[in-house]
Amino acid sequence: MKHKVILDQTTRNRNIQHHLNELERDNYAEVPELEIVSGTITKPRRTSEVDTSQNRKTKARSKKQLLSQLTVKKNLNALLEESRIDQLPPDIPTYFTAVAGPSRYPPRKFCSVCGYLSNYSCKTCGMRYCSVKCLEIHEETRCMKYTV
Amino acid sequence: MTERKVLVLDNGANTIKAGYALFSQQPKIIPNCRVTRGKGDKKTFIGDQFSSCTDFSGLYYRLPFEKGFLTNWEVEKGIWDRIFSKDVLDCDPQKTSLLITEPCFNLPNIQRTYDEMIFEVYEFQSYCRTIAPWLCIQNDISSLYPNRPQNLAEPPDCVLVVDSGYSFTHIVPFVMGRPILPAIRRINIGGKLLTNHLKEIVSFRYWDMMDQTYVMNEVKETCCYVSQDFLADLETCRKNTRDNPILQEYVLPDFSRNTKGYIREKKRGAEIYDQSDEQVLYMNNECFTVPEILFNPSDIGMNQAGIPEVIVEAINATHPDLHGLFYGNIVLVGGNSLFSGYKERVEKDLRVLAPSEFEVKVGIPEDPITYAWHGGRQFASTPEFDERLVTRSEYMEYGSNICLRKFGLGGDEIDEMSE
Repeated sequence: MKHKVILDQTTRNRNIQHHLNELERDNYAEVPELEIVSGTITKPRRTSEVDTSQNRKTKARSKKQLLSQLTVKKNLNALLEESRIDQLPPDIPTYFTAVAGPSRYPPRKFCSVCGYLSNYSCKTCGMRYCSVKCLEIHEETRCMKYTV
Repeated sequence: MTERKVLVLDNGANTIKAGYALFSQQPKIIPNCRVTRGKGDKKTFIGDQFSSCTDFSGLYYRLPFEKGFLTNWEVEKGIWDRIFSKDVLDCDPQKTSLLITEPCFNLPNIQRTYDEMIFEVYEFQSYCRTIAPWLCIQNDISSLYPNRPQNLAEPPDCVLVVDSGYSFTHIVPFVMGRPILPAIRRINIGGKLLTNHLKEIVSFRYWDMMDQTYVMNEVKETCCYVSQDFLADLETCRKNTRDNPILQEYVLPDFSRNTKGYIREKKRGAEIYDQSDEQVLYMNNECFTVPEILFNPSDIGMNQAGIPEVIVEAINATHPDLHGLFYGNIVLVGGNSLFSGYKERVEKDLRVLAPSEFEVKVGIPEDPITYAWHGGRQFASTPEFDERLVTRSEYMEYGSNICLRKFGLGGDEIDEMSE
């Protein structure tokens, strides 16, 4: 008989966290490369019209340099690290201290298939189901398919 | 100085609300994104150009914001360029003062990028950066509570703003117009997560909509509501899945005959089997289980309390003498406030949680999305605005430090007010 994997609590929690991160995605599919064409972007407004040509050249160049520095894409985690707000004393309010705490009520349980209240959880992966019918759908389509 | 214009720009993660303080009654609402059509002509739309898009299938979004913070300046600059251009606002930065919003607890390194972008790249004459909830309280808050006795019509000393936007929800208590920083709370749930969640459950249960963010957002805005009795509504849906008052039949757009989806009248009896080729999405418990996440993030496994509980948490972080004032002056803003039943539910849940001796009053502006912009417009005409502005020459002399000093909202004296 085939050996059945049963996920432990840590893995289950990780899957839930992974799912929550998925819910923050901008696009379901990866953005194709074609998007990088920049021809359609309107040109920035020229602002330094009174400058002498010499002045304008150096100014334009340094502005260009600055702009290329500023538009380097960094993700939020990198920026959080760079900001070093995690090293501030805990009594200084920051992004990290502002996060709301957990509820004092226990979480409600919903069937992952139909969305109604559920009394059971899948033996293998821990997702909830409410009936034999929903369990079948769950096993066919979802069970162990969230794992990365 | 007379020539100077003041541009108020509420830089939301989903839409930018922008307009001149003296000349506009209403802001322009511009999508804060760059959208590329994946199929067909592969056309790209920047900001307001999106309104000329008629085929919303297979769109790719490029958003400048990540989890509520401005991280992609390349995209943002493209959108701002477009907004400041002659086609939209016709803004000459050198003759303009800018009032712009940033998220609560913006990171110091991101704030520096704002300063550099605005003064060195765009060369604005002067600018002021603040958080949207603070602009909200510049409005006439007391008019939101119509039943209040006339003698209390002056602005309340304590206001609690619940800003539930696209990326997250912030609860911000203010005393005498200043935010109590240690009491600000954030719930990591916003409109984007709700739309994505709806997209996911609909794709699992009915039609594959994973690539149809735009359509699903419309469905969310049209069909979803906040339930007043969640378990009872759930039971109604479960008992009779096809014939209950909650069920809505949403006709999905096919982008040839109809570009916009709509709720059709329910078909009864034999009509159910008619052979119309409309693609119908049956919205049943999805209608209210999705906004419910704002009130119970634990429904999707997030280990945070919902809005009413966090309001209590935030108020409890302030001085006990102020608690009653906060419960009586709650303002709901942000796009999620548009769900029908939202205000009633917040009020109802809060009544249960709040100490019985306090009166609970919840106000909601007519347009919770542009409320911050209107507050900004008010603020721009006060002398305080000129005091808060940092001019470009000041910046050139003192650098980002002057911005840090002038834009800082919470003074030391405020920290003493909190516990």
